[in-house]
Amino acid sequence: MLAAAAAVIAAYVAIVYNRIVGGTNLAKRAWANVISWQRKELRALEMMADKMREYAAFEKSTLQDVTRLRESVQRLDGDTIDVAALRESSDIARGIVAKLDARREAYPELKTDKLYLGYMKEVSESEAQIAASVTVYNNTVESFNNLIQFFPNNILNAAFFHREPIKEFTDSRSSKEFDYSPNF
Amino acid sequence: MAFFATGGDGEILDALSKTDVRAIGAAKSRAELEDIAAPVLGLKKLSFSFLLPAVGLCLAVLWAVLLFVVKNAPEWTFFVTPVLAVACFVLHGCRTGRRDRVLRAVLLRAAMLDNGMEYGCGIGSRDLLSSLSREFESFSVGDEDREITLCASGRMGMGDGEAVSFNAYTFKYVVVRYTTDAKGRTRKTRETRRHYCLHLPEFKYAPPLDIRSSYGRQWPARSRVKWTTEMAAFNKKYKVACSEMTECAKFLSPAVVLAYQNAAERLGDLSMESRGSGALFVSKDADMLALPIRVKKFVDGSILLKDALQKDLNFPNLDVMGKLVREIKRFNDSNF
Repeated sequence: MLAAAAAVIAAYVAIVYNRIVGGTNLAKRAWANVISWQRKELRALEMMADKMREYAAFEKSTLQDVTRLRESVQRLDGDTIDVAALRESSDIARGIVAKLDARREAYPELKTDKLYLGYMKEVSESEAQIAASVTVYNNTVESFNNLIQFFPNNILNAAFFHREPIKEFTDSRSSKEFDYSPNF
Repeated sequence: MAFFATGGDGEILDALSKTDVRAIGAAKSRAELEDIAAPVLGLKKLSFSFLLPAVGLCLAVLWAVLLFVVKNAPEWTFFVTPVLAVACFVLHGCRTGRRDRVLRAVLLRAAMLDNGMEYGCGIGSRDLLSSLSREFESFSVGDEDREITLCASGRMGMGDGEAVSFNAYTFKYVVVRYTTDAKGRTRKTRETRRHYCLHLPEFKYAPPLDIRSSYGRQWPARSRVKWTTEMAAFNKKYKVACSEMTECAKFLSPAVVLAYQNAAERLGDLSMESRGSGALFVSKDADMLALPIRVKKFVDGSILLKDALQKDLNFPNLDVMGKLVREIKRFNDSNF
């Protein structure tokens, strides 16, 4: 009887362990996905900036921003989840898009350049994919955190696995616009 | 139908008898539809009185009293009373059924005309079913009486001037089960089920793949390579299989996964089969041609049918699907 109970508990611990490992790997994969879309946006922004330089519709500070973005994206590592670094990249990218948008208004010929329009479409799609991949990442992180924090898994985690909850990505710029801060 | 009609019931029954449901389905414009449905549109009251069911209930009570209390009652009363009681309920059911059918037909046709849709899909329903089941496994479920009960076609805007054609089907089938009790007696039960499908015959933006929700696992996936997305909640609900992993990874980008998840939340799960040149979305619960206003609203008088027809009508579930299809196209049509 005791042996049967021990076997059931051991099987449960094994299942929880496997689910925790699977959850960690899925969160890493979701994170890598966010980075890959961020890199794609960087490439599109670089090409878009080059194209704008042809029309002299370009400011020196934008070039510096692109360089900053490149460095920031290079710092993002697929194996280490670094939410702060992602936030920095995403803020720089938004700044560049805003600057390029403002400059474009002054150069109507850019609006008919097919190559430029293509880059613009790619940037807009990448932005949508980054937003979606962040949502996907947060959803996966939530599932993982629930897995290790719900009873009785929290006891098993504290005793055997020692996994920390993963940080969710929060959009600092968007949250600044709300006059509300949650109390957790 | 006017038999046993009291007060306003006679007026409703008269209007219903003057309205041809088939002609409603064949109306080519809103003006023609309003002409055909004029007798019903003129009515202010659409609810029947409760006299018939009340009489039926009284007769049923009388029957029970006769059975248990009255001794030496004439034999015929034991048969006539229940027959009359059942007849009252059946007649009431027929009247309300006919009224609801007419109302639904008027609203459906009006919404179809507003959305440029037509009944039928070009070929007879039997040919249609066999050609669809050759292409999609979703139509091979069930044991008996597989049938396409409704088929409507139209075009769906893609937001950039382009449009894709679609067919909306209601697919009905019967699942037969045999159960054996403790005494060894076998009982056959038949369960009729309906699936609501949206078929995009020229949709080239999805590679060959299957996304199957719980009920979608009734049919086998043609594609054999399993795929999981980065979203834990999506993976929990759906099984994805495709021909090539790279195609699946490219197609199920985060934006498409989220769009799919959002649509499925509105429609109560959604399965998808794509064959590369055409796609089929199947929902178990949500009729793609569900109307925005419930027929009950007209019956209880909270909305007048005449007023409802003054506005453009849409199909909310079809709009949800349109949004999903546009997102899929947007993120899979980039050859830049």
